[in-house]
Amino acid sequence: MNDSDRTAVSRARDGDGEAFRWLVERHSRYLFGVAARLTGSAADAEDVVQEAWLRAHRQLARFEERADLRTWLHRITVNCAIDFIRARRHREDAHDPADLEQGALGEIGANTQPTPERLAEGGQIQVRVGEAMARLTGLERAAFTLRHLEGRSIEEVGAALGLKASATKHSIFRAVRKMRAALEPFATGKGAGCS
Amino acid sequence: MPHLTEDQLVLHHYGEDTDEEQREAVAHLAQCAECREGLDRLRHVLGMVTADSDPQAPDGFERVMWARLQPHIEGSRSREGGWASWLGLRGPALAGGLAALVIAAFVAGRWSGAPGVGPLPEPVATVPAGTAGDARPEGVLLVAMGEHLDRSQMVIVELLNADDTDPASLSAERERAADLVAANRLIRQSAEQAGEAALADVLDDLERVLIEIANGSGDASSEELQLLKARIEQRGILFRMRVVGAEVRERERAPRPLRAPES
Ligand SMILES: [Zn+2]
Repeated sequence: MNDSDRTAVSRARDGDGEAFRWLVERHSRYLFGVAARLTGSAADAEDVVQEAWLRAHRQLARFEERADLRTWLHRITVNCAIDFIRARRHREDAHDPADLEQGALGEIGANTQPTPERLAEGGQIQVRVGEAMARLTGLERAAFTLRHLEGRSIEEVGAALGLKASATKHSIFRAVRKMRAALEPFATGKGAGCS
Repeated sequence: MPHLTEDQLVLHHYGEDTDEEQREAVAHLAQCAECREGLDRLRHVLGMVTADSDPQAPDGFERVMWARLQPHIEGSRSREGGWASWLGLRGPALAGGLAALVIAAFVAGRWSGAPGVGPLPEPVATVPAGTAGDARPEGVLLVAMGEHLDRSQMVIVELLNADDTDPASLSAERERAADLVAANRLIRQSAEQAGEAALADVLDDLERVLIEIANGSGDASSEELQLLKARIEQRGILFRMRVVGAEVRERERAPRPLRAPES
């Protein structure tokens, strides 16, 4: 953790709202990315980040100063996102699975459209990845992201999402199949059959 | 041993195969070029999926997030003036210009909801400009703005949740949007005149959306509305409206000077 973070955390613990504000403005953008890739929706990600900050604020006294602040915030955000996804699943379970598929589709896709910045950065691949992620169902996205980007084991993913191991695996398998179908045409170099 | 399936390769890639499966996979891969190539391809594609492809937060997200959090964070109000300072609002200009126009809109009867939308805040609507009601003109404005944002939000939420398979699902929203356009324009123009760029910006986006809904076919499955939905998400319009709306509500409950006079 850098000195600015350490100072701000220390002040925020003492009730300095401005110090907490500084932390919020410094880290929110990063946490949005973490939340959005799990929830697949910008609006949901915003709610998740808000809840994550409120939890972080309540738990600030317990934050170990030697730990990395961003890692700590990241973990809280992932946990909030999981809670959010689970809560939403209960609602979605009552609906036709087709709705679920539809509801998970596209929402965040808008955010991953090729903006000039991304294209200018040569971020074509990132745009494609974002589009492919947007086409996963909510459960596929959450299971795949937790396994692939958060490094959680299938057992942990299942426990987090309230799924049996077989269902967790199948969500991940389906996600990988969809990601491959979407991304292999853009893959270059070794193993992709084109360069 | 037969070739490894894609699912087996996935488990192997993540190290999620059992010890026995892992031994078998390693042994097979050692003598099967086809499966080795399959694993390479899998790894190559999965390697493309990194945190770099995370969705980007809308512009100004940090500030908006703080505006949402601030009411819950002790000590955060000591040096800041709440939503007014966040929006960069200056009391007299805002209270005078905006309130006068909003009140004029009420009096002229142009600020009317569609049938069935719900009652307007009547005590506010009857306060004429230039009377005792001006003692707290920003209060009038806040109530009016809060109502407007609520109604507009309802329309947008309906749009986002519309049944894509029902061509007529948005016909009621079209009417409501048409009714809201005029009111929105008045508030936006006042915000611009008062130099309130942040507020005007949200209202400008909102106005475009309302106009598009009003002029659209009302068919949620149409490409135009799909594009509109995408744009609403991308620009974070609903989110920004919620933030402004929440702050407006708070100001309604606890009126206080928008900002101490600058020396
Ligand atoms: Zn083989």
